[in-house]
Amino acid sequence: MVSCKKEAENPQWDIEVLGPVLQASIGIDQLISDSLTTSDADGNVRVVYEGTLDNIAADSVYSIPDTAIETIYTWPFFPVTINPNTPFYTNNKNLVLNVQGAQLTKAIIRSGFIRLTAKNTLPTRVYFTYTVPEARKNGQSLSLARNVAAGSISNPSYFSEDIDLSDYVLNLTGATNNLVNTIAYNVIARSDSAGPAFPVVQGDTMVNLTTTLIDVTPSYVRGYLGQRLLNENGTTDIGIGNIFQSGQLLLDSATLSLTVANSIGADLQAYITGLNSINNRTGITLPLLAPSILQRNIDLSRAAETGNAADPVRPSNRTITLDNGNSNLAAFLSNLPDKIGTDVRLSVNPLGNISGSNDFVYENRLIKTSTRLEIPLRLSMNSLMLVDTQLLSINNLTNLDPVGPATFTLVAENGFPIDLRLQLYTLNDQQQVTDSLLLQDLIPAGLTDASNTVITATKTRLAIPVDAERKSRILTASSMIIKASFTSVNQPQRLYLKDAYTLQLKLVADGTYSIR
Amino acid sequence: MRLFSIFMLLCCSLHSLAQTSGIRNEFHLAADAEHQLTFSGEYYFASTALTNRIAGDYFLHRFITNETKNTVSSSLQSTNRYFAGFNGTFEYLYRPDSCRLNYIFTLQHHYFTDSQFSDDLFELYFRGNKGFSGATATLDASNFRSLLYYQAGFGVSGSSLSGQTNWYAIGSLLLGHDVLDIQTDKTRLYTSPDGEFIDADLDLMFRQSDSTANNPGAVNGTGFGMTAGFATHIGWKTALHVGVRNLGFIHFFDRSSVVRSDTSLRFEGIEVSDLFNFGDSVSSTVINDSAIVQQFLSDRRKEGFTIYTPGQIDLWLERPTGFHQSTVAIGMRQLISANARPISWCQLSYPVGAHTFRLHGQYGGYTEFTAGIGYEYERAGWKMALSSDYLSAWLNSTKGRSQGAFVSLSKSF
Repeated sequence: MVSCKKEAENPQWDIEVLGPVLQASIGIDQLISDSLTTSDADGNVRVVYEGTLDNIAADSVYSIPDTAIETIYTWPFFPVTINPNTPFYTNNKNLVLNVQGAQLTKAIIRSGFIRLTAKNTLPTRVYFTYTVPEARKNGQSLSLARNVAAGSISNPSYFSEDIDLSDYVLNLTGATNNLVNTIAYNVIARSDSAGPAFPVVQGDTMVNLTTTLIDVTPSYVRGYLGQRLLNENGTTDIGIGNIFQSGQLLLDSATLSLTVANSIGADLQAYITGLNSINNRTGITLPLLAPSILQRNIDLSRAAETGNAADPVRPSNRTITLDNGNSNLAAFLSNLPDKIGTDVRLSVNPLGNISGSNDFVYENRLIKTSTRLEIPLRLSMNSLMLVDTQLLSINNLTNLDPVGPATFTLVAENGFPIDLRLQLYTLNDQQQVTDSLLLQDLIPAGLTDASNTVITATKTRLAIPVDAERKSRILTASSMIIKASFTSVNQPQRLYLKDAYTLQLKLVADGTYSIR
Repeated sequence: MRLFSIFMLLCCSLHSLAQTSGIRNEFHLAADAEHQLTFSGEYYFASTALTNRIAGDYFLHRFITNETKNTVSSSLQSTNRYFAGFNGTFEYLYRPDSCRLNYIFTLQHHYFTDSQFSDDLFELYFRGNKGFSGATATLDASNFRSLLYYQAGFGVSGSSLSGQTNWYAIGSLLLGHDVLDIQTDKTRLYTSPDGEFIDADLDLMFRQSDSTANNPGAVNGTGFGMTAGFATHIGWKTALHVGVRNLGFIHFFDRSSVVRSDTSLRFEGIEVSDLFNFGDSVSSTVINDSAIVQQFLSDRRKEGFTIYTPGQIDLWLERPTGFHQSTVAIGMRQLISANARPISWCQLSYPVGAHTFRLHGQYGGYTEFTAGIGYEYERAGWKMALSSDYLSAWLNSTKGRSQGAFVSLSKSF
């Protein structure tokens, strides 16, 4: 009444709130992407991973390196005068590709260039006609006419041009049609009809032309690919292994189906020396034991051409299956590998040129391995720890300034036969842990029957008091680590995880909120 | 500023008294005058439960303490009301020499807010839902309205040939600037004992004028208002006054928003299951508050609607007391469209020369019994009036539940 001046921007008072803030229902589908899980009639879940791998790159089978060839013609005879419009040079030449190992007779070019470079020291303009008769596109041979201005020895004239070879079909049998890796071309040089007559003497350079193949990538080659050996040694990171930080997992079984499709028109032979399950955290490397496929030749027959441009190759397939009956695959995976070590040798044309130089390769149709890994989630876990880091930007999400002292309660209803220890850590910008939010971290497993099937979820309430200091730490956190440790009941019995199991989490707030 | 505030308050009181008493010849010029200019202003607040303290704290954005809330809580009934507002008026009367009629021109600014609310609504709004854990907050039949509009009026007043009756009639163009209207029917909120869920049973409607057009001169609706009345002698030296004031309506344009909700829902927290997806490295984003609101405020429309302006109907009798020049008046008043109960009142006026003193008492409206005072000074064509119907605001600023003041200054020539 004394003054109408407002003390703040808005009316202000405190209220006491009690209610849910966040909720989550975590099932198998949340832990493992739902597209990877399936379940049987009893609800027992199995993880199915399907993927394909392109095992080799095209350039490991064939490649056409950059190749240059010079055409230099000097006047061989006694002195003469070259009149205008007089052809003074014509020749058929072979450009031999620097292809290693393979003997190619045909190529279809996806991309690449021929670079023509000409140098003229003659006192007249010189007209060149450059032809590659066996390079055809839409039925037309590659042919072009260019000219180089008059020059002199002290001041020569130059010409250079890149000719796009895309979609050209090259016959690589040369001018005589019985060679390999060879492009035949023809050059004709003629003096300018409007230029002067000029004298030449023996040794004068009449033609100086360089032909260079640049970045030529075929989409198809044919011929004999040669005998070659491709080695695949090394390690491959696998994602799931990086999530687990510690603990033991015992899988009951696993089945791995590998279907190798050979779309190369050449016989192949694989030899797998070994595969290793590498767990760098435990230091344990477990070799795969699979006598039916390891350390023995695995033949992959050559593919055949169909004649159908839309689907030109009929691949040759071979399927290999690993399971409990023929391997230690379950133990191999239970090692929780973060890397898989491989030592594989692939041999091309192990029997030589048995196709009569009719091997072929389509650039995008090589060797593809389809993988199907099926793991029934009948397992045992002992302190198996998953760690995931979530980026946080709470301050940007909403204004939490009005939130006063409060107690947040994490209400967990655990429907899994697994004791869960959960902890949430806040991290600052330097990735240093600034707080652990849960005073108590155990969420006991649901109650199970004699078959280790959960019959009742267990409810647990974990208090998280948040005073001003903790609130500040949470608000300024750049990320949060969610660390969850799983221990299945009745260790080390293996038990089924069922699709109906869920962990229900709810965060309930009880505290002061300032209306401002 | 402080002196000015006190002055304004004192001034405001008298108009309220003048309004409520109504024993003067409203909208009539003095016999020897041709023109009259009047400026007046008033504010008012009255409630069955809200105290002047909480109203003042709320209006001035001071922190509202639990002590202030406790005082209100002790007075809460199952249904409670409040009414508050501010009016500013410029009035011009003109009577040509050759005419018996007075012409009336008025320009007015009106702001008012009123509400009917349950005790649970107050507790929920000012204390939060924790006090309702394991219980249901009943928010039935509550409403809130806030209206700001401008009024331009033209009318006439006159007297009968016998001089026994005075009358007046004013028609007004109403220009609506801003309105917020919230009405609930059956609306309940249940908070589980452990806070794990909240059940909401909602039947409510929000209506709001175009919020994008909020500059001071913006007009978001138009309407019509009416003020009329008469006073006549009925014998025994007694005058009967009958009048209506500011009865009208405003239709807000089609750009206005209307939101209806008639639904039941259980809120168990914002869904964040994706945060626990260990199968990928994608950071998930928590939905924001608006996403929660969206689920039960889905019926949003842009459409026009009509609001009735708060008006009043008055009827009173006035006669001399026989003691000097004093008069006494008794009357009844009903506020329209304002969540108010009928008001009965009486008033004693005692003129002493150029001064007139008034005592006022009333029962009903938004409070129980209230007392008021007024003072009027008139000299050389100037008239100043100050009044307040609510002495309690001065006597008990903490627990008083009404306040108001009126001031007017006029010049006749």
